[in-house]
Amino acid sequence: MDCCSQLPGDLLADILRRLPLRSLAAARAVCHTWRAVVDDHSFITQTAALLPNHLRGLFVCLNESCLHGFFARPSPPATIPGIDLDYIDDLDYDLDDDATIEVHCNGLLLLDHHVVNPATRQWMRLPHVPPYASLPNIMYGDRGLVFDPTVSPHYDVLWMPYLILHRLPEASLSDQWPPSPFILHVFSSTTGRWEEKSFLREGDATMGTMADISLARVPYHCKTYSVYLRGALYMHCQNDCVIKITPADHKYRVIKLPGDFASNRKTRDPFLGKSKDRVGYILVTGLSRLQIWFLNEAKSASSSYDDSSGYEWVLKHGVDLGPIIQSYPCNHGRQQWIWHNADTKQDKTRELPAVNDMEEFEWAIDKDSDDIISGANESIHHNGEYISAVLGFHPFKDIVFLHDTNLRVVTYDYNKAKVQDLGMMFLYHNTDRVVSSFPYTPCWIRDLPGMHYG
Amino acid sequence: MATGSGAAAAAADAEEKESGSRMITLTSNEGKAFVVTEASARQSATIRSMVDDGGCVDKGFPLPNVDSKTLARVIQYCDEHGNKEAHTVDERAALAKFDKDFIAELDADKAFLYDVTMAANYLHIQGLFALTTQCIADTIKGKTPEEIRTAFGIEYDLTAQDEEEIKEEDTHA
Repeated sequence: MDCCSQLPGDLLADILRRLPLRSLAAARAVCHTWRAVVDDHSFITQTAALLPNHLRGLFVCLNESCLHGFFARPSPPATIPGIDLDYIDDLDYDLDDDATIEVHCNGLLLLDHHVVNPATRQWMRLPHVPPYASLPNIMYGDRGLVFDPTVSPHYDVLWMPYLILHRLPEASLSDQWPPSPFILHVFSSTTGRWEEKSFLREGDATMGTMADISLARVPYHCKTYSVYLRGALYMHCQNDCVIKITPADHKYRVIKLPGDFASNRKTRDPFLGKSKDRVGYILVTGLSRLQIWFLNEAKSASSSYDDSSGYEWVLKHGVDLGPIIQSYPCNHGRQQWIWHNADTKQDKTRELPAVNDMEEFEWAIDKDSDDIISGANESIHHNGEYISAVLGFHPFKDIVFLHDTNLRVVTYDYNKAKVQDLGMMFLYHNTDRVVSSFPYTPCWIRDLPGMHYG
Repeated sequence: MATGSGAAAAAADAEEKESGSRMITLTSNEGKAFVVTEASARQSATIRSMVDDGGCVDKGFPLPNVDSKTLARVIQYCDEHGNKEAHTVDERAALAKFDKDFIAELDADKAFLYDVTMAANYLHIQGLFALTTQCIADTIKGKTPEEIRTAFGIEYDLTAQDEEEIKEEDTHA
């Protein structure tokens, strides 16, 4: 029974249009007929338009107020994602405590008690995580979000215990952590509840003994990030380690971070992020010394006994940005990015002409010209003294986002060694500092499992 | 239902009731005649437009593209959806249950599933078409190209050059 001869092309098209992107890619590799049907109807481009493959702006959290805002190009109000979360219609909970973004993953945000899709203004209330049985006094944890809409509309949240010395049982202080098997609480949108899942260690490396981990210099207020890429969740954990968790295989692996962040006093919070399908790590030491690392994973390493091989951080770029940060051309024109939050929404005086969403932002790196100073409005200013915060990787370009002491957001292209100014990011009080930043890629798929409308 | 609506609406309602009780004959390509209620037949947009155009209701409708076995199964779906109400939660749940059992049975015989899909397409029965195409799509989901070929009995006919292209694209995806 050959369905190609049995089902006419337009009928096959009606079947294939019901598939998610990953299945469409598989269908395209089946035979000539199927390949032609997928291509003729541009199914892949249509589906891709809903996927998080476009950088819309940066969600930035500030301290003190817990307030966060969105730094992006000026745009019509309707196209700005729901930044003030007023659409979360959850009356039995006070949203003020909930406004801190903990994780961003492919268009979904994880808050204290909710998973939110700001593009569709839909949300899901996350149940309380159950107590961690083997360490009953450990109540704090970091969480990771697992979501890849090219594979499935479902999403998972993982809870990783955070070790605090005086809350650990005396007898286990010299035990290696994490154990194998490692039990983690995992929330899944398929079941709608938290379940204990067991993970086996790959490789010999652990994070160290429980005492070492909890005694390692804790960078107070340090924000740690996580990345979900190709079916694996990479979480920045204590003691300068990344834990790579592969939910499908029930495996985990500990990977030591490079650059000696924990013992280096003068550092900004480092950033673990996704850059062009790689796991990257940004470290700023001293006032303005920038290091960009990428994780190399040898594909054949999985079955090898020599488990330390195959995972290696490669220093892609190391430079002192001091001279550049102190003077670069400022951006005042219509290409300028601005700060949006609940307050600025009402403030008409700050309104800049909205940019048509179809009009692409002009990244300096995309221009062939060596000289990025083109407009008459642009002039060299005396700018910040040093880098005050790392705001993340551009997920699709060789660019990192930095914040300088003059409150300006600049991009740095590490291939061409060029700085581009995006505009001023407003902080309200002198004591405000950037706590965390999330390069945001909207996901326009409606009605993900368990999601409600506001 | 018609209370409060205008006289024209009431008249249309009455006509609808009258037409709903009419019987219509559908004839398969093997010449076998099936007598169904008009409400059932109206599930098909193709037949609905022929009836509304004042077509040959009395002579019946020959369906040269549909065999008897397929037509009988299609009518089973149309009877359920055309003759039964779907206003209350319970009624809708009963219909959903019917659909679930109906498609599970069809899924066991792929060749017949394709026949019903094509008949639903030809007769423009929207609900049935959505049901069968989704069922076939679910068979494809989560499979590798090789598994899809096995499931659908497809010969591998891509050239080495096609394969190179696909590999190339995969590394970018």
